[in-house]
This record gives sequence, structure tokens and C-alpha cells, in this order.
Amino acid sequence: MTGTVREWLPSGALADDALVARFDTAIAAWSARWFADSGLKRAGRVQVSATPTGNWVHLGRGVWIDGEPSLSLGWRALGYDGGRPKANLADERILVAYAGRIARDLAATLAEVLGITEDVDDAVPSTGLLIRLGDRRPGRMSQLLIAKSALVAPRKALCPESQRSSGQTRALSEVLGSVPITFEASLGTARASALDLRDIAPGDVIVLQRAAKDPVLLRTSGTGAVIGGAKLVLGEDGYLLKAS
Amino acid sequence: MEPLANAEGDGAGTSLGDSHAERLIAMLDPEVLGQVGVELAATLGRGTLTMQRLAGLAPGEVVTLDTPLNGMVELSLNGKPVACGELVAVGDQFGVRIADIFVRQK
Repeated sequence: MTGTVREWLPSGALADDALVARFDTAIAAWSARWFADSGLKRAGRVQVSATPTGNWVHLGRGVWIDGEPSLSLGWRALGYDGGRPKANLADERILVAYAGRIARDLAATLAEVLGITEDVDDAVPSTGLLIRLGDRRPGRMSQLLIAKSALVAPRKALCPESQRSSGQTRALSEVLGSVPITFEASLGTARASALDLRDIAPGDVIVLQRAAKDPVLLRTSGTGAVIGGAKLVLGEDGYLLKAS
Repeated sequence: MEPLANAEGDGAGTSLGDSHAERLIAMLDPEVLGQVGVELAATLGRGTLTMQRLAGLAPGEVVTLDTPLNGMVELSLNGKPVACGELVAVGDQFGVRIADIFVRQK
């Protein structure tokens, strides 16, 4: 399995050529170790997620798996891709245990490549690097999760020049400053009955519940939150809104 | 009189729910309708500001809107425009003289 390593790296933060090469080598070795005799062409594909959900079971240093390793993983490692012999309950237990060993070996491989030396959290991580394993067919997927907290130290060690670790951060105000806000200039409201509204006609005047000297409220579109006020003044070319 | 609806054609006035509501309103006694209060919101216009520009706004600075300030005001009910009109003074208060009512095209 090659060519997927960059996808394993969150936001390119670990996109280091040397690390990519190490990933390739390590995963290929793991793949060959367990699936070499099964003719498996592709042992995994991966995705990155910031919001992992699943029934996570601790697998190894900083690495978690969604649910128990599947029976099919064990079958495939034995070289069965499709027609399988009938297995009794005892056989299936052995296969699940075998699959668990394969998965734990992958977890250890990943931890070694990333330099994760110990677990940093006892609880299931809320964010991390999500890795989906399987072949091209749906329904054969298993998920691994590398805790984000476990990736901090390797990231700093492996990618000292990366934006995240080099301290080249942008001030929050700088980032938010360019965010556009759509607003409405609200003059006020008027209460009426549904009957009045039904019978309303051109030429009718509806009086607003706001004095003319009161400021016009600037409200965000959608939420209606007040973000400022302005005075409505009559200029030479018409009305003007001036911040107050 | 025809029921009020959105003239923008955004679908708000054409849903099955609105159709049911219109039939219900037609069935209601005017006395009942007279007891139902609604609130119309008057909007002068809309604009866009960056947060940086908003934070730096000083008193007296002109706030520009995306539409020209020609004194026309939009009246909306629950966020849906129902009418527009001219801004007028009524004593010490603002008022809106209805110019156009957005009705369903039949």
C-alpha cells in the first residue's frame, strides 16, 4: 500500500517528505507482514477527521480502534477473500483474536513512526487523526484513531519548520477582522392585528414604535443581534446613516 | 383582498403549509382576526461590514448600505417581506406610508 500517506497527516502539519517515506515503509512492511500471502493488493485507505465518532477501544500507544477488530480482517490475513470455510464459534474467537493482533501491530507501527512513546490520555480522545482501513469494497472498513494529544510531541519533533510548531501564528483579530458581517438597518417595529394586516392598502400609514430621534439599530442578518446604532439624517442627496 | 405573501418568489408563499394557513384565515371570524396581534419589522436596508471595519467605526462616520437610501422601507412579518413604503414623520415618530403590498400572483 503506497500513495496514501499524505492523507494521514492533519492539515499538512506533518507533511514532511522524510516522514512520508517512513510512513510508506512502515505501512508497507505491516501490510506485507500480515497480508503478503493473501494476495491483498491494498491494505488500507485513510481519511482525516476532526470530529471522530465511534465505539473506540484502546489499541496501543495513543491509538484507538472503532469496535473490536473485525472477523473479516482475520479471514483476509489467512488468505480468504470471498469463499470461506464454515467456522464454528471457537474458530471465530481465534480469528477475532488474530485480527486483534494484526490491528495492535498496526497501532504499534503507527506509534513508532510518529514517535509516540506513551499514552497521554486515559479517556477516548475527542479529536485526532482518523484512519479508515479496508479495501475498495464498502463494508469492510475499520477505523483507527490517533489521539491528537499524542501527535503534539511528534509534530514538534518531526516538523519544527511547520507553521503550527514554528510559532508563526496569526492574531485572532487579524483572522476575524476580514470576516464580513451582513447587517440590517432596523427602524423599529409596529404592532397590528391580523385583521389590520389583511386589510392594509397602499396609502395607509403604519406608525413605528420608535421615536424619530432614536438611533437606527444595526442588527446582524439572521440572528438579529444588535451590533451598533446609527442616526438617520437627511443630507443633500437623500438619507444618510451615521454611526452613533 | 388577496392574502399577503412573499413577492420575491422564494417559495415561502407557495408551500402547502401556507395554503392551509390561508384557508384557515379565510374561515376565521374577523373578530377573531382582530384579536390576533402581529409585529411588523421595518428595515431601511442591508449592508455588509468586515469585523475590522465595524470595530473601527467612529461616531459620525457614514454607514453605507448595499441599496440606496431613498427613503423606502421594507415591512416584514416573521422575516418575510409583506409590504414596502415611504418613510414619513408622524409627529415625533417614524411612520411608513404603504406603497406596495406583496401579494401572491394568481
